[in-house]
Amino acid sequence: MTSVSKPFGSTPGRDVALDQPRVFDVGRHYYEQRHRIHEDAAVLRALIGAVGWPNDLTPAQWAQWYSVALGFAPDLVIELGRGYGNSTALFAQAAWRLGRMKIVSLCVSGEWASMVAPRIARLVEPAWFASIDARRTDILSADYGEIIANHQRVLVLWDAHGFEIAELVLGEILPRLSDRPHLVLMHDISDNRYAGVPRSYGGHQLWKGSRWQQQTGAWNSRVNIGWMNSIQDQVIALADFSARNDLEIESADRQYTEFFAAHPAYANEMRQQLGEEFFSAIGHWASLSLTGKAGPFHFPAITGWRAASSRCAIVADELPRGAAAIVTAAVPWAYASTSAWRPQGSPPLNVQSWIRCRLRVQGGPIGVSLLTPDGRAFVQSQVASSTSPVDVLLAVPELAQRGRLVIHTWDSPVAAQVHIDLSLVW
Amino acid sequence: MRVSSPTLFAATPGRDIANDAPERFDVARWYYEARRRVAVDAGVLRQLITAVDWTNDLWPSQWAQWYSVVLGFRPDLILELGRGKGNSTALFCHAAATLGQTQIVSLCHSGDWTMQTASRVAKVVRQQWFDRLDARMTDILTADYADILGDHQRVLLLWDAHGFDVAEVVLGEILPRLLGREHFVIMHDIIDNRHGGVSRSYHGQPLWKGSEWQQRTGCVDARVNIGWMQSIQDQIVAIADFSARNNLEIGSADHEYHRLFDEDPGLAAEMRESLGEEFFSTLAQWAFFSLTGKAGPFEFPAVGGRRAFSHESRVAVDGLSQLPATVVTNARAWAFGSAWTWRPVIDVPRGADAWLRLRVQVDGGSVGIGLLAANGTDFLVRRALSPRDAAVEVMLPVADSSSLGSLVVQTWAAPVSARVRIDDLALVW
Repeated sequence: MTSVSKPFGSTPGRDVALDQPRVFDVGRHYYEQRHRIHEDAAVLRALIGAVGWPNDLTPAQWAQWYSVALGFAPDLVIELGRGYGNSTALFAQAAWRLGRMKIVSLCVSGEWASMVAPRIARLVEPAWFASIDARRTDILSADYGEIIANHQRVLVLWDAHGFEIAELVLGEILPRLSDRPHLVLMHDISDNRYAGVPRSYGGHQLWKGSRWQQQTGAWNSRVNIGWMNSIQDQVIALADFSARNDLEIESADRQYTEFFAAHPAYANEMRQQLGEEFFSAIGHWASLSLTGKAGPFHFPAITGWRAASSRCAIVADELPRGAAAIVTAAVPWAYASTSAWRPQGSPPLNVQSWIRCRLRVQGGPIGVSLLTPDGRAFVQSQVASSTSPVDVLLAVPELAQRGRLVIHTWDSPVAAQVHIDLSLVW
Repeated sequence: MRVSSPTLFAATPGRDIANDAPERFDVARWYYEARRRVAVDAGVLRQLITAVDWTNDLWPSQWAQWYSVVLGFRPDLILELGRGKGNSTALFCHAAATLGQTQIVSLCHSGDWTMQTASRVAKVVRQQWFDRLDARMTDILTADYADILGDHQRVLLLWDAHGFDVAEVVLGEILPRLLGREHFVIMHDIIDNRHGGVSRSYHGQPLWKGSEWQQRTGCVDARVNIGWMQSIQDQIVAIADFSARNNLEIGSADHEYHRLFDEDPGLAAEMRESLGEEFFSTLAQWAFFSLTGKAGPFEFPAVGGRRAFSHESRVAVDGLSQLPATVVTNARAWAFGSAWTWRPVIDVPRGADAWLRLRVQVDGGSVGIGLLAANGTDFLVRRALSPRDAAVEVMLPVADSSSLGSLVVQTWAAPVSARVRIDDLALVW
């Protein structure tokens, strides 16, 4: 067999010789933040207890990401995927420590607001929550230009999965971050060189993609792309991005293992100070940054509503105009309005269009849903809950056969005031 | 991806590559050594290419490359997974005719070879030319590979049908059966991005999101790169995984051809002189691997539907009182011979990984057996079966045991009637 040369070795690309040394050394920062982790161990432990979901993030991973947040000291954390809120809580604690960090947390799940935040509220001062903008929304709908705005140092937690989100991160968020220091943490990627993961398929079928896994429940099938061991489609998108851009995907497992192997005394200090609870050289996460790397970079195109180039207003018969609000009832799933609607423009036939709802929601989570023409089922349904303006996008299957648009309470018995601005994009 | 040392799975015991025998198969050397034979056969190869008439799938230089692989490897069996119009089928048949001892089993659900290409090829070759070919219009997932491989000792496998399910059958069913025999696997549609100035850019295309997405959306220009492999096929994900787990290098024909012919321009000049640009190129766009000469043990995936099931239920079929039952299909392509509603007699737990298992024997033409979707026209799953002397087992995944689609037996692509005997029918999970 021949010797291996680099992917795209015969194609001009960015000059890696111009790259600066790694912008952020996670191993060193873990070590350097050991005193703060130690000082905050009790509060971290209490927060872990309040979240009550260590399956998603072990205490050692809490400490690792806490050290990243403290060491990198971003002015903005964008959290893609919140779940129960392990990372939300640890980032908020880091923000509490640092004092000038905003967290925009995007997730469709409601556990944070309904269960976890009330439990945490018993442990911390109300001001502890001031850094968190926890939105219940579709990650694919968010306006990242607005979220990133003038922030100068951005930490992204990429903890929501699938190819569509990968495309969003690599094609929409990363280009916006390339001109400012940034670091992207990626959960659920183990390093098969260090993490002791089995080579064997273990009697399981070939991994056939995240959607297949969700359909079949074959959760034990894993895929290895180079050193990345995962169950997420994301690693394929990462391998592709890495190859095209001659960019190394960093492994926390590798950085920690090599750093502490090179400094055994540091590892002993960490063990002594933090114990096995908060110290581990295995993280099962990866990172990515373009900061300090010489361009130009290649990014994938964005599909879906972000690629839309035309827009017109929508007229809806039951929706209030101007400053008036819709009020949803404090009853889960109760309808507040059911509107017939029509676009004021004329999109071409057979072109995909989306209803873009610009929402301000005060109160509980609401749903924006599109009914089938016969009104018997939802074609699409999106949740929204945010103190900041958010976008909800609903794909319209067939404009000529459009169903009514419903604003309704979501799963919690909490009323809300909803200001809505509608347009059609295609 | 840039992966530096240590090697993958370095912390996990695995096979000892230090015990691997030196590489035995050299595709570049085979190409060079076959140049005279290719030159002699150029006329008939050209006629065959014209008869197949589908150079989009395989260019003349790729014909010559694979022809040289057959002549160099000298298999006693070529197993062709995916035939389409029959470019590879034709070149393998011609190589087999040259070698004299090689059998070809070609599996594909397409009827193009049978209905179009073979008759055109028959005008340029003698009838005996077809004798070594067993071209089945069947589903690659349902074939009996133990039976196909039989006692063959030197097997060339062309993996030219795509998707994760086929990858699973190749890596989990066929490869373990090839371990005890010399074998060589050719994989089509994999470009080496290290050569030929392949563009790094996404070119305004979205992220590649899998073969199923590509078929659904028609975004055929999106491609994925895993290391040096660039493709539009899910298969390279499975190959990258298999390669990592088994510390096994996937070979690149582009790389091998560049290595030999760039390093020795004299050889390239000879090739050009013998074959011209028509049959000589260092651009190959295919990959290869073999476990032959490699020290084990190897890791193979399990194959869905071929595992042992712990539960089984008899199946009640409306309008069918007992088994065996026989269905005779019309001599009309795609005509339904039967469409039965059915249900298991035992409740299947919700979420169980359930499969409808049939044991059937097919005589006459090829047939399709599948489960209809609720709309009564689309198939949730369907397998093609070619006529065989013995009964075969067909496994149909049942995605939702609370919504069972009708069981259909139909004529396949060729308008040939078939007699289908169903010996057994059960739901297993």
